[in-house]
Parts: sequence; structure tokens; C-alpha cells
Amino acid sequence: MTAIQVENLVKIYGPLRAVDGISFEVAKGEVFGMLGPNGAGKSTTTEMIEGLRKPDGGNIHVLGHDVLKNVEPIKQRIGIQLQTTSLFQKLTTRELVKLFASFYKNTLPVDEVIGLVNLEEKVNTASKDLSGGQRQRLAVAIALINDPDIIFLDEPTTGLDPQARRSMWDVVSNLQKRGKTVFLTTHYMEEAERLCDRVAVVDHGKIIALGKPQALIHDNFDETALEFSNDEQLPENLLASLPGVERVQNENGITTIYSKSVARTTNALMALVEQQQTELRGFTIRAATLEDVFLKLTGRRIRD
Amino acid sequence: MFVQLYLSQWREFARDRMALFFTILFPLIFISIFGLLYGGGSKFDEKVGIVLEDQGPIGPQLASAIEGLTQTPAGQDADKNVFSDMKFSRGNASDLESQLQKGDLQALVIIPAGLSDSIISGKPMSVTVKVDQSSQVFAPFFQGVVGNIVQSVDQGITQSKPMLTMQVQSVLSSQIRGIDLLIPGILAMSIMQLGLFATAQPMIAMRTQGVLKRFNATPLPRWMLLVSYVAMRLTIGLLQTIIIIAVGKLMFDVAILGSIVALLGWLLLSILMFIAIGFFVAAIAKTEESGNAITQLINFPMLFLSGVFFPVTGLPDWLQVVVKAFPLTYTVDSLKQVMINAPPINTPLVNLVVQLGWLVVMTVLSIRFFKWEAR
Repeated sequence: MTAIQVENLVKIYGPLRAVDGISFEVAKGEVFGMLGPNGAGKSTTTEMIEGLRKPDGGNIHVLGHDVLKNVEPIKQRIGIQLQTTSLFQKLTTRELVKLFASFYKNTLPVDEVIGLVNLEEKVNTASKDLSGGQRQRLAVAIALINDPDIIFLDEPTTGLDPQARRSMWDVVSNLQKRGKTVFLTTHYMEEAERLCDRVAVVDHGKIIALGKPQALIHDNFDETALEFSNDEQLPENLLASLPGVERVQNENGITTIYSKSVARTTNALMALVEQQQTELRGFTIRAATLEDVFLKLTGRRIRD
Repeated sequence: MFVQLYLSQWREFARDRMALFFTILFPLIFISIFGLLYGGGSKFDEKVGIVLEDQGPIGPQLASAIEGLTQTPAGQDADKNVFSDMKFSRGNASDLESQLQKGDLQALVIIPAGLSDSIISGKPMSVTVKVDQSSQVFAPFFQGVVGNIVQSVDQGITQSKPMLTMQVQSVLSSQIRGIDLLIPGILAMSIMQLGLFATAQPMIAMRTQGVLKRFNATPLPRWMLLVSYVAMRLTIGLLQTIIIIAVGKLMFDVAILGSIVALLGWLLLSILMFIAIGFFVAAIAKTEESGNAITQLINFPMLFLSGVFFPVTGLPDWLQVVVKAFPLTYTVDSLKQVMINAPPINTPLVNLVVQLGWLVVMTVLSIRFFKWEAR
């Protein structure tokens, strides 16, 4: 079953094609991510799917309803966390969740929703007194109050410290376990790799890669990185001539060998180490990441 | 849905100490200060000069009618005639005018030579009233009362009935003090500021901070949000005005001469009008800063020129034209009329039509220009 279906979506702001012909589908129960730098068109796309912004071209279907023609039945069945949500400052967590509960036909119990985002201890705290991470989780709680089929999370962890980020990841994982469809945007590749079943990598309003995170990495990268500390016993030209090696990079005493054949390169490297009568310190074999994919496809890093 | 929205806004308001201070406490502090300043004197004891140059029948009639203000009509309590302690003196124009300049007189009525002849031969002629504007409380009253006398004399002439049918209006039936005059002004001020500060500002903030956008993402109908927003402001407005009137009544025994129902009606109309004006400001202001600037631009001129603190009649002619354009002028006028029978600037019908007009026009323009999202 398809939860979200987007065809050839376009949004133009003056001379800028903010969203430039985006198409994808999200299956029910899937955690789908849009990954890209700021200004890539992630939020604009999200808000068009949510019915908050009118597209300049294309079609959107959510849960079988045409968003452009009939958004009201969709509103009852989706939950939205906007990129920045500020609500009544002096209302408490419980009061705010209760307020939003009153807008929907079917709702979960207020305390259950607060429990889902682990805000039990802050039920009576005014929203202005919550930390950034707690406020984001409150926004998610509000997005969950109508027990939605699809939850939209727009940059849910931007600006959060690592602990608050991990706490938000737990919330998303729990949603997935409950069989919810989650649509999220992020510019943290680690977040996308960790949370998403599938990722659309976007840049300048276009999808430049779409698929499972690991598949995306494998499709674009057949090299693996071998990394170790090197205090000059192993000269670069020797390393470069090892079998399978594509590229060698030295940075701050760390040598990275990009290899197309991990086994052959590793064996040859070990032999070389023994022959030179030296020792490998901090040796790791690491896979390429989505960051590497983005770098390869655009020539830029996501957080430039 | 409505109840929750209404309650939420109420909580947000009630937990905001600044808002509470400005809507409830501030007007009360105002009343208390002015009450202590103006509350003492109970009657007018001003001195008025009359220059009678007219030799015909109308001039003396007019002069004695004005002097008759000190006499209480039979059947009424003399203590309640605010003009009973006034002193009148007659004399020639130059003497009395210099006394007025020096402050020995507070007002001067000049009935010019040839007035009767002129009117009998069909040419209009006017009586000049000079009032010392520094006596803020007395001046507009005296002007209004003399105006009434002149009007009734004039009607007597055109209807060719005996001159003695002239009447003085019931303005005299109660004691009007400074505080009584001030309360309608304070009410009008609070209502205007409710519209500007408590309606426009939070609405702009809700838009720029994305609260409106978040509500739009829910099934909540927009009209429901607006209705609850207006209902909440209406409640604050009525509460605020009732508190002001109650405190004025209890602390200073202020006058409410007209009917309470009529008073509530006028209050309701002006509250709705200023809420509509507030919405219009929210519709045209893009940022909180520009909203602030527009608000102050509206607030200050109206606050000082529309008759809240001193009467409109004291302003130079060109400024009076400007003041006629201010909605607050009509609010102050209608409240003063209904509360203390003040001499009218406009008829109640004009006050009603103008305020309704502002309400309708502002509502239509707000709907036309209102934006739900920043940018």
C-alpha cells in the first residue's frame, strides 16, 4: 500500500526553482527520509505534501486522497511537526496536547501521547520553560495526538545536543515499531542512515539518489576505506602500489587507503607491514557513508 | 474545540503579568491618581462675564437665561445643580475681556449690538462665547450649556412663539466632577489599547512565530480560530470596562446618568470596532516591529487628541478636522453622553453610524489583506 505518492512536484519562488520535478512513493509502515543540505527544497516539499503550500506543478496523493483537491480528510489522519514550532508560551505540556486533541475526531489519551515521547516529568511545565529537545518532543507528541497514519517530522533533531538527538531517535524507532509511516527530513547523514528504510538525497530541488541507505552507498561506492596511524614507516608510493588500491590520502598522521578489494589490499598491507618490521596502530576498515555519496554526486559536503 | 481554544488563550493571557498589568491595573492606577486630583471639588464656582450690547428684545432674554443657570428649577434639589455656585457679572467688553485674560473670569458671553434687529430682519447673527480653556472641566460644559440656551432661543424665534419657552437641558441634574469626566475617557482609552495591544500584537506574533501555520496543519477551521480570538478579546474588554466602572463607582462614586443597557451597548460597539482595527493592523503589518510602529502611530495621536484627557472643543479648528477622522473621538463622545450627559459633539446617530462604519470597513479590509503565514 502506498502512503504518499508524489509526481513531478514543482515549486517556484521568483527565479528559484525550489522544488524542481520531484517524484517518489512512500509505502505504508516505511520510514522515509529526505536528506540534503539547507535550501535543497526539503521543507518546501514536505509542506506541499502536508497541504500547507500550493505547488506550482505536479500531483500529490496522501492515503489515496488528492492533496490539491481535498486536504481536509487527510488532515485528520496525518500528524505534523514543523521545522520550528512555537506554541502558546505559557501553556503547559498537558494543556497544549489537550488543546490540539480538541481539533480531531479520534485521539489517543493525552497522557499516553506524552508517555510516547517521554515527557511524563514535564506535563505541568510551561512550554517556554522546556529545553530545545523537550520542545521538539512536545511537538512530536502533538503530531501524534490524533493517532495518525503518517507522521511528518521536519528536521526533528536540528539544533539538538547529541543526547537529545538520540532521545528523538528512540521516539522515531518506537513509531516504526508501532507500524506508523514516518516521513522525515534531515541534513544529518548519520540520522538518515540510522532511522530510514529508504532515503531520497536531494540537492537544488532535485532528487539525485533514491534508495536504501546501504544500497545507495554500495551503488555509488565500491571502495572501502582502510585507515591507520602512520608515522612515515610506510611511504605513500608503496601503499599506492598495493593491489586494489584506488587512492591514498594522508591527513594529520592518519592514512586512508580507498580500496576496491578489501581482502587483497588488506593481505598485501599486512605483508608490507611485516616486511618493513613495523606495527599498524589504530587500524580500521570503515564503509563509505551517505556523506561520501553526497560528496561524490555533488562535489560538496552536505553541511558546507 | 472552541472551549479549549478559548481557555488556552485565556490562560496565555492570565499568565502574562505584563498584559494583566496593562489591561487591568494600569487604568485603575490612572483612575486613582486622577480621582485624587479631581475628586475633591463638587460644584462649578467659576466666574462668568456677560457683555450685553444688544438693545432689542432678544439680547436681554439670552443674558438672563444664562444667568438663570444658578437658579434651580422648582422640584429639584439645589445641591444637585452644579451651576448654582457660579458668579455672573455684567460690564463692557474691554473691561471684562481683560479680566478674562488675567484669569479673573473663566468665561465671557458677548451679545453683540444689533443682534435683535438683525435677526428680526432675517439676517443670522451669532453670540460669542469665550472660555478659558485652562479650566478643562468647566469649559466644555459651559460651552455646551450656552449652546443649548442659544439654540432654544433661536428655535423660539423661527417658530414665532414667546421667547420664554427656552429651556435648559438636564445637564444640571447632577454633580459633575473631573473624575466623572475622566472615567469615559479612561474607558475609551482602555478599549482602544485592547484593540491595538491585545489584539494586533499577539496576532502578528502568532503569525511570525508560526503558530497560525501549525493550526492550519490541523482540521481546526480558520473561522473557529478567529471567533475564539475575538470572543476572548471581547471578554477581556467587557471585564476591563466593568472593573473600571465598578472601581470608579465604589472608590469615587462616579456618575452614570444614562441607562446601563445603553452604556453596555456603546461599550460593546466600540470594543468590536477596536478589535476590528486591531485585526486590520495585524493584516497590514509584516513583522512584530512594524506592527509595533503602526500601533504607536495610531495610539498616540488618538490618545491625546480624541478627548480622553482634555476636550476636543479646545483644539484649534484645523486640528478638529483631523480629530473628526479619529474613531476614538466618537467613542469618547458617546460614552461621555451616556455616562454624564455631556454636551454632545455629535448626535448619538452619528456616533453609532461612524463606529459601525469603522467596524464594517475594518473587518472587510482585514479579511481582504489578512495573511496566515509570514513572508
